[in-house]
Amino acid sequence: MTGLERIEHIKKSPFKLWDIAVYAVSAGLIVLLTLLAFAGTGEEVVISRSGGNKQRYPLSENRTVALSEGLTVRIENGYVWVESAQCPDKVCVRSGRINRPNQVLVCVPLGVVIEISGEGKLDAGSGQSRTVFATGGRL
Amino acid sequence: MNAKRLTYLGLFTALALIMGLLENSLPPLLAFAPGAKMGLANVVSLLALVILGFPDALAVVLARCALGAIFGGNISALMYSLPAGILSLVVQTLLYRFLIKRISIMSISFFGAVVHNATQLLVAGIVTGVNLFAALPLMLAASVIAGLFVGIVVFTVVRFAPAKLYEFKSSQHTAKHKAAKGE
Repeated sequence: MTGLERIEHIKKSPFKLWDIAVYAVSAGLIVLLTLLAFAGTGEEVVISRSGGNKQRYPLSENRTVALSEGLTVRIENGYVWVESAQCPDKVCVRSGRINRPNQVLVCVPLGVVIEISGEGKLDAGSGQSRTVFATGGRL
Repeated sequence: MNAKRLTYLGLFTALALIMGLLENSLPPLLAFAPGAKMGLANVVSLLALVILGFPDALAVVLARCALGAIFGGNISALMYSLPAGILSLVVQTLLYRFLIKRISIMSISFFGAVVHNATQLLVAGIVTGVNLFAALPLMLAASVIAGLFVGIVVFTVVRFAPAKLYEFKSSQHTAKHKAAKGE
């Protein structure tokens, strides 16, 4: 097949028969991996800061943690969220509440990572994997 | 190397760099994963592959990674972008060569995005020494969105661009034909 013939094949249709299989398999994989990665119950909230020290709090106790970076973290009824942040993008506030092991809340500008550790079905290196992905390895 | 090919290469490299810049200034693709990129530069890689062929597309990818790292002032970014860029181009080239009859350009760019993200994840895993399993579903989901978007753009360009764009390809084609006929 020459280059020009291949170009004709591209033009023919934006969707082709085998695409269905491609997307079905990837949809299945996403569901399966998500279930595996975030199954189980969370036990501890781990707050990592760019200074390197980690703070740990039980997920079961309600409390508010104010960090010197300008971040207010609320733990309530087994959920964690960022109440307010003094950063320009507010991604961590918009990320909402988390309650499952391996879930993370990341504030890149302030260098703070909030993760939940616990009995997950997949060992995810205490949630750091998502942090690495979410920040593109910048933290 | 003739002047036309050189011009195309320069043009594609410049376009890829602009796409990269544009992407960095856009809001993140997924609110919960600021690092997940749309991979707009892949639009250019794929178009280079379709219009110029694999060797030239590879040259564009290498130039884009090198210049991007220099302009961004972050040479260590090469560690991520180079293997990811090369591997995803190779996979897309193979799919394009052998499966374009069966799968659309959107599926091809989706595979490209998956390979690109998976390679970056792998490098990140090696660099940081962290098990990256939990990032996989997110990576796949981001790749579907990225792949579809890039695929639609490439399809639209290829579908509606004037035939003149493929002049380069057709001149190669006729040259081969002439050679085969012994002219």
